[in-house]
Formats: sequence, C-alpha cells, structure tokens
Amino acid sequence: MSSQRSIPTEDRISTLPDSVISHILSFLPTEQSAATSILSKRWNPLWLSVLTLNFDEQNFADFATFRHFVYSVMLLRNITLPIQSFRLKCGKSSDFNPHDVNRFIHAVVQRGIQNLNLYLLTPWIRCFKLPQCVLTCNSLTVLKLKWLTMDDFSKVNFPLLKTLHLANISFSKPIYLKRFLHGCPVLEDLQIQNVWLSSYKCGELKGLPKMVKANIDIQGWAFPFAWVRNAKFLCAKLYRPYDCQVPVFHNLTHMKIVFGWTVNALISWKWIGKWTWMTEVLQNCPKLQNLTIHQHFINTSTHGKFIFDEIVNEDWVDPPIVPKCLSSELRTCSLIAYEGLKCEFQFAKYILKNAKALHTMKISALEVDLNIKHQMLMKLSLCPRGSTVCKLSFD
Amino acid sequence: MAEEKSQASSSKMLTLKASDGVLFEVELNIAKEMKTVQAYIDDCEDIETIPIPNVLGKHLAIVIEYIKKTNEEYDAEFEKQWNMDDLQLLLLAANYLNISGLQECLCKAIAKRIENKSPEYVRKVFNIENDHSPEEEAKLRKEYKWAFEGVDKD
Repeated sequence: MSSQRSIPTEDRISTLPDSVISHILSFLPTEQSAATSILSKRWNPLWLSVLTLNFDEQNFADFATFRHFVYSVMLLRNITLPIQSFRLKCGKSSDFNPHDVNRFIHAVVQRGIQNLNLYLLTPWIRCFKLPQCVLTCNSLTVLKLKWLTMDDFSKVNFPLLKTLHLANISFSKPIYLKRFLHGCPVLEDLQIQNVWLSSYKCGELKGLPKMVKANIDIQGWAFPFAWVRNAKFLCAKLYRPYDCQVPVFHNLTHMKIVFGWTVNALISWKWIGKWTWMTEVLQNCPKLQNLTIHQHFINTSTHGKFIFDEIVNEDWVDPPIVPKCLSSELRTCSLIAYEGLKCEFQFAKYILKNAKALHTMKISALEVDLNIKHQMLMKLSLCPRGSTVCKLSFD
Repeated sequence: MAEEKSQASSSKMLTLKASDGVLFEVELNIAKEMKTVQAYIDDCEDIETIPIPNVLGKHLAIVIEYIKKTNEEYDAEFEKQWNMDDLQLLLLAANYLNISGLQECLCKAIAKRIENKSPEYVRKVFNIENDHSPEEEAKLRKEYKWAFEGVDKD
C-alpha cells in the first residue's frame, strides 16, 4: 500500500450524524453497504436507512443468489422508507428470470422514486420489456434505460423528469418515441444512443421547451433535431448524410458534431457536401460560441484514406452569407482528426477568415509524421484571420 | 481580489478564525456558502471575526478554496489530492460548516476509497471499535456472506 495513511487515533467518522454515514454508504453497491453492518453495533442498522439501492448481478455468482439478495434487502428495509434512487444491472446469467425483475421494479415505483436506472445485459433475443408501471411513475426526475424493449403504450406521464438517457432501446413505431418525449415537458438533459424503430417517419414534435443538453448518437435513421432545437449544448454523431431539415437552434452555444462511419456503410456512405452542410448548420446557430467537429473514421490501411480521398474531396464554395455566429459569437473552433484534405482545409480557412470574435482555432491532426504535420500547420497559419486575438493551436 | 460581475455591490470581507488561531479573510458571498456561518451572521450582523472552533487552519483553507473553485471538473479532481485522514477531517468540517456540495463530494470520495475493501480494512481506516461479540459477528457474516466474497484482502 503506497498511500500515506496516518493511523487515526479516534473514530471520527462515528461522530458524524447517521444521515452523513448513510450518505457515504449510498455511493456503494448495496451488498457492500450491507457488509458494513458488521463493523460495529452503531453501524449495524445504518445501511438499511440508505435511500439509494444499487444492485449489480455481475457481483454475484448467479442470478439465483442475486435475486435472493434483492428480495432480502427489500424485505429487511422499512416499508415506509422511500427509495430515492434505484439502480439495477442484470440479465447476464443463464438463469435470468424477467418475472423477478418485473417484481423488483413494481415494488420500487411505488416508493417515491426519483432516480431509476435499468441496465439489462440480456442478449437481444430475449430482450426485456419495460413494465408499464414505470411510464406513469410521476415522481421520476432521472430515468436511464439500457437494452430494453418498449411495449406499446397510450400515455407517458413524467411531469418532473429532467434527465432521460436511452441506450439500445427499441420502440415498435416512431409514434411511441414521440409519445414518450411528449410526456416529458420539463426535460433538460436528453441522451439517445441507438434507438430502433420499425420505420423512420417521426413527424412533427414541438421542440422540448426546457432542453439544455442533448447528446444524440443514432445509426440508421435521421433523428429529427427539431425536437431538441431549444438546447444550449448539443453533441450529435452522424453516420450518414443528414437528409432532414436542420432547425434553427436559438439557444445553442456549444455544438459538437461527430462524423462517424461504420464498415457496413462504406459503400453507401458518400457525403459529398458535408462541409457545405456544416456551414448551413452554422447559419442556424446564431449564438454559437464553441464548435467542435470530429471526424471519427476508422482509419485502417485496408479501407482507409485511399478510398476517402476520392469520396470526400468535394469542391468548396463559400456560403452566400456569412453565418451570424461567425460575425460576433464564435470563440473557439476545434477540428479533431484533421487530415488536411482540401475541403477540410477550406472550411478551417473560412472560419479563420470570418470568425471575428475567435480566440482559439484548435486542430488535432490524425497524422503522425511530424513533417507532414508541420506542413499542415504552416498552411493554416498563413490563412488570414478575421480576429486579431485568434490563436492557432495545433497538435 | 478581482470582483466577479455577479457579486453583490457590497464586497464586505469577513474574518474566519480556525481552531488553531489561523485567520482567513473571505468575501461575504464565499462565507455565506457555509450555512453555519450564514446563521452566525444572521444572528449578529456586525460581527467581523467568526470563530470556527472545530476546524484546523489547514482544512479551512481547503474548504474556502473549494467554495471558490467548485465546478464539475474541479470536483472530479478534488478528492485525489487528499489522503483518507484529511478526507475524514474535511468531511467533519463540511458537516459542521454545513456546505452540502462539499459534503456530497467528500462522501462520494470516501465511499470510493472503501469500495471493495474488507471490514477489517474499513475498521482500521476509520478506527472503528468492533463491539460485536464473536458470536454476533459470526452470525452477521453468515447472513451476508455474499458481501464478503471477492473483497480486497487488505
């Protein structure tokens, strides 16, 4: 043990009120919190007054042992004590039983729960369906779901929900995703990673009014960004040309766009005009202060640059009007995995020339060879800068 | 000291006196983050030096710095600098001074340091006296046996 640890001479922690010790325990997985019951008589009952429950099947030998533990805890705990936060991660063992999980969730949603986190590790074939009782659990402020199927439902009621994270969720029809979001009137933080729908016509939804932060990563269909048009912070990963209309983002100050691509899309992925599209997006972000563009290509030698040079080298055309955010708002611009291709360079040059309030242009090159990097840097540093305080940072 | 644009027009300074006599001059809005101090000020308006009898100068300095700098990034790195002993003393300070953000940060940090550790380790690190009889302890260990599997032998 290398940490300098002076041996304490008094038990200070035990002088703290029960609520503070419970607060410490609330950050531990529940089975570890249970173990503190043997520390001393004072500590014995404290774990049962913790308001957060955190169950991870992976810490147990099998599902049978795990379910035994969960049922025991639920029974030992005072029935009138609320459950503020419930985190359940399970589904890996072969003896997994969804009926038990349903019962756990039913027991929990009646107890004033605010923070619900369900992470099912089940393989796709026996995907777990979210119990309907969750959809009307109106005390929720945070809901995080991973690897679930949503059954058809008529109404979702989350009047207090501020944070929603959906990862690997399937809805039978787009209307259900729309209905889901419609039931979250005060939503501020939305994160969507892989949501599957049967078809992709989503239709209109008024922009979620209280949106602050949106993080969207969806392969296979075009998420209607109009739904998050009120956000201040946006991170979007795009795998194919975005063919829907880009809304005006009235409040957006920070934007990150990741151009990703998958091996399957190699043939069909030809986004000629990507950089032009980028400037159109800038037109719709009048308050943008911080822009990051990351080209997340898998740069292996087999697929690699050779093919992309052909696809990506489009002709650059200056947009007819300089986007408003460039004239007065944009402070930092960051290009990650820069390769120095013609249109990338033209884009960077356009920004440098027209961004009158720019402090920093940061370029992170993909290239490893120092000479080539140096040449890229030189080429960029010769570009005229519209802002007198603009620094070019290159690594 | 540079004034932030959001500060109240009064840049009144307050002196806090730590248990070992060390004095700290802080701005009113920083001191007010300590609810205990706020209550003190509310009771006696003209006070200029407030005694903080339970907190050493060393820890009061850290607390004041936390209040000034706290944000998501700072909080994530904050706990890494302190050993377990200091973390405990800081938690006592945060609890006494009633600073909820700092208390949350420290509870989380302390939990992280006892995660996956054996009860013997936790007793040692907190200096908890085991007042369970051997029979009682054996019974508890049996009841919660899955909790003791796979912990660090420390």
